Amino acid sequence: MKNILLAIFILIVLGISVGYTYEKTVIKEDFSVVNTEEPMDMDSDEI
Amino acid sequence: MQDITTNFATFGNKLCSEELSWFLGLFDFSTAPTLLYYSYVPIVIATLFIGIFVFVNNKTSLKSKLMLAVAVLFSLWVLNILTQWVASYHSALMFAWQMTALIEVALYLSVAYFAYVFYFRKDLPFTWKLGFSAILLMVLVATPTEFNVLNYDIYNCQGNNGLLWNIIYALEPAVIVFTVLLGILAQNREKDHAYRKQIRLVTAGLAVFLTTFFLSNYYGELTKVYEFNFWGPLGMFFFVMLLGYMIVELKAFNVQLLGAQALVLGNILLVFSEFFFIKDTINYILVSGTLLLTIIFGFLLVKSVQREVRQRERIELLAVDLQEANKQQVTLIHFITHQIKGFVTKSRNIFSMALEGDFGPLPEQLKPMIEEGFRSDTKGVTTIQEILNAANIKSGKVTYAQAPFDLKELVEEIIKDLKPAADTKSLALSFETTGDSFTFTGDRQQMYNALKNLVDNSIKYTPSGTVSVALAKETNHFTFTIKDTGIGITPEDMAHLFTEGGHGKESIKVNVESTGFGLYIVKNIIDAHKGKVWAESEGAGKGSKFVVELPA
Repeated sequence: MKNILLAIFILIVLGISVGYTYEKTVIKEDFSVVNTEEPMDMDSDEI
Repeated sequence: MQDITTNFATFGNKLCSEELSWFLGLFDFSTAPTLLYYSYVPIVIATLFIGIFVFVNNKTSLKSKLMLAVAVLFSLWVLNILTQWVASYHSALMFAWQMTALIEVALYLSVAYFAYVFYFRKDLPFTWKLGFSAILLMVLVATPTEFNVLNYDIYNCQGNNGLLWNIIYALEPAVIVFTVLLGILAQNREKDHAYRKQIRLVTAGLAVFLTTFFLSNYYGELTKVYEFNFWGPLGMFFFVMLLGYMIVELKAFNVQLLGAQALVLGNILLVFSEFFFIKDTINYILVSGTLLLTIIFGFLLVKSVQREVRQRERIELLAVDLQEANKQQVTLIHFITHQIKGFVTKSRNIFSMALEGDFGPLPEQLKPMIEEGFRSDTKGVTTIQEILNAANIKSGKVTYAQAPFDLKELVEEIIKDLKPAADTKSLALSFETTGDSFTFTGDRQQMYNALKNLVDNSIKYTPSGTVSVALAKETNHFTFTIKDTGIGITPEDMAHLFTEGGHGKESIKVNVESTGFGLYIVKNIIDAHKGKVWAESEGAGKGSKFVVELPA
């Protein structure tokens, strides 16, 4: 019985976590980004 | 300088790769190195195959369920990594990146759980399960947060890992050490030699798998050269092959055919995966030919293994039935002979009392019948005792005393007891010795029974002539020899002489009351005293010689 309750609890938390992550990244696209512009080539002769 | 925006939603370009997402509108397989498919796909399929096959063949076993869980989690991990390589949209990539921590930690924990159940053949204690769950819950809570993935690098199409990964990269080596230590502990505690070997193999296999997996991922993350990750799953390949060997050779999961099938399937997939990076027509033809040959020979191999396995299973079942039947037979023999021996002994005692006059004087015409009854019952008791002795020897219930006694005196006693029987047949029974001290350590009563049986046999199977008994003391052994001028032993009978129920064809005509157990009992007694017994004869009608050698 203890095992089943523990498993159910973990499954609930798993569902919430994965669902929230999916909503945040794929649906709302709500996450920080970096390197949005192509970095300059420091070795290039171009100014 | 890095430009940071908080909301990817406001960012214009949603696509990662320069190519259009051509597969299902979501994936671009051309962006991933071809080695990725070659190293990941066959291993995943082989792992899933083993996991599912083991589970299907033994659904109730916790070991099998955990093996399936490990296989599924490993496959999920590979699928997740593949997604990170071939997904076209940043958001999908970010989701996959965030899932990595959860899948990886769940994989390591399930491997540790599996290892415990395999080693100790019992479920993990509940307190340990709580501990594992606490670790998993911590990762679950952190998954959608910056603690897991700090931010997303748009230019390189990858996530930047957060502080959670410092914990994960400390946890993973801890799990490896834990698994190996647990394996060593289990091996020391395990009494079954065959299972100890299995524990050693599983410990080695898991250690190689988890270590290559961890090192390749850690080094890939450290250098940001993610191609190192390709080497990680090769550790799983090693583990899967090890499981295949254990399943076939050691029957670790009670699954018989699996090794052959996994081997064939793995080979087919490896050859098939070459199609992913062949460029020219000739190679296509060559690889197609190789694939066809692999399929044909693989099929033939699996069929022949299947036949052999089925035959072996049938033989094992028959062996179990035979063992059971033998056990029942021994019990029955014991029961019957004890009961019958009781009745016959009672009857013999009554005849004996009658002969001794306990019931008054016997009428003259009745006396021969009473004497015959007494003789017959005495033979009956001896025969039943012989059968009982043989049954006891066969079931290992006989114990032998160890005490010193004089072999020469023992043989002289035997000669004295059997002289009347020899005289009745007018046989010349002689006894000579060579050497001085004949002290021997063993069970005097059993040795008396064995040697008397041999002399008695010679007397029974010698219609006329001589029975010569000799006892010699050599440097490190005694030699007891009985030579007779009897019916001899044919080569055919020689083969069955000392076996249980081994009657000779001619001998049974001479001694119809023979049980066939006498020489079997003799051999067992001599063997138990670390001696040897054998017979020699030139053939039917040419007499025999029985030799017993005992260590001095």
